[in-house]
Amino acid sequence: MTDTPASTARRTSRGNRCGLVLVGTVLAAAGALALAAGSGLLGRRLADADVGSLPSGAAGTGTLLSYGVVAVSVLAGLLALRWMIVQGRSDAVGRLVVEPDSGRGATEMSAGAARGAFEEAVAAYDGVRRARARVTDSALTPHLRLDLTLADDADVADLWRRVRSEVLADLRTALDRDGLPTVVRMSTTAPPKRPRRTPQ
Amino acid sequence: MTTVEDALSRPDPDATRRASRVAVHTFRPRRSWPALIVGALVLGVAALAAVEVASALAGAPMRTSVTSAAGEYAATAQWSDPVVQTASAVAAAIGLVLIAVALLPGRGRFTALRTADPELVVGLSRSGLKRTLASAAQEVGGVRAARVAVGRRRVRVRVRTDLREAPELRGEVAAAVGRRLAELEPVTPFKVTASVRHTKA
Repeated sequence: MTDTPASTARRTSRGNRCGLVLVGTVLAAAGALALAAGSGLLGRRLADADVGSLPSGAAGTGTLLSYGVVAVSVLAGLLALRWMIVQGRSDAVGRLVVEPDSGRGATEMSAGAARGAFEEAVAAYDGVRRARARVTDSALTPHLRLDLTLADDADVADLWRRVRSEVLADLRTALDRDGLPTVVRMSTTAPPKRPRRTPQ
Repeated sequence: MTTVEDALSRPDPDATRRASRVAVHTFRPRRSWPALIVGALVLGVAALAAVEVASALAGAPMRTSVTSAAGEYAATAQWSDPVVQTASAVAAAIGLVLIAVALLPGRGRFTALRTADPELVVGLSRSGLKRTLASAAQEVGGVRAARVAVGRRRVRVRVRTDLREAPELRGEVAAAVGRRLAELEPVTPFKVTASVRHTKA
């Protein structure tokens, strides 16, 4: 079983780390090489050579290198573009499949319906000010993300255990799934400084 | 006596360990900003290089002010020039910083709580943790105000009191905050230190 909560988000995170290491390594290696060349570690002749002589000399040997440079630049540019787009990617999905194991056909339901019922049930708990649920990752293997804003004095430990044993268990039953990877994120707000006066 | 239910409901230590690891990784920062900035710079450099070289190949060189200035400078500068050396060192340093940003785990906005279930990850925001620990400290008799600072492994509680002499207050506050922490069960344990200040009468 490799399905852990928030797989898509974790994949993006892993991709970001790989990308940063790659670019960092290229920069560090190029910088170190240029430093070595300048300090004469790669021969005195290179240290005194013009910076521009290397590329122009190489370019003189043929246009094959130029084509290579264009290809590599286009490839790097496209990868960078994709990398940037992925950052803004939302992992929310609009619908999910119920009873995925029932041999023939599949029942789909809108994620909004599941979300609405879930949010309402959680928001009714004592100490919960706001509840927001999102179905993420994919329709076939849905994950759940629940953002809770709690009152200052809420019993945090008790709350998430109640969410797990009541609402989450109900939702798993309703969707006919044994497992539904879930991330619960809780934050608190201070009580309003000046409570609104009720007209008398 | 151990009943069947007990044996079934007892968390499997392997699953617990896996759950903790998943929880900690889930709340690690995604490094979106470094990724966006580096991605934009790579895109810019790659586009510039592609346009320059492709236009030169096509026989109608398109020169931008940036590249022609760089070309002029490179034509006369030597690898051993101090400016070139400094630029190389800066490039290498930026590369090392990027590698560090990628490899160091970083600290997320949420503290992972122990669930013993790999499919359920629960996190409490750092400000939420601060608030709930501060309210635990305030419940101790004699405490007038409490402030909590949450570090990676340490929680520092500073309380103010009107009491003239309260030698045991520090211990009581630390114990109360420790109890609240034990209820929350964060994946990485925190060490609690408390300090007391007396308000001058």
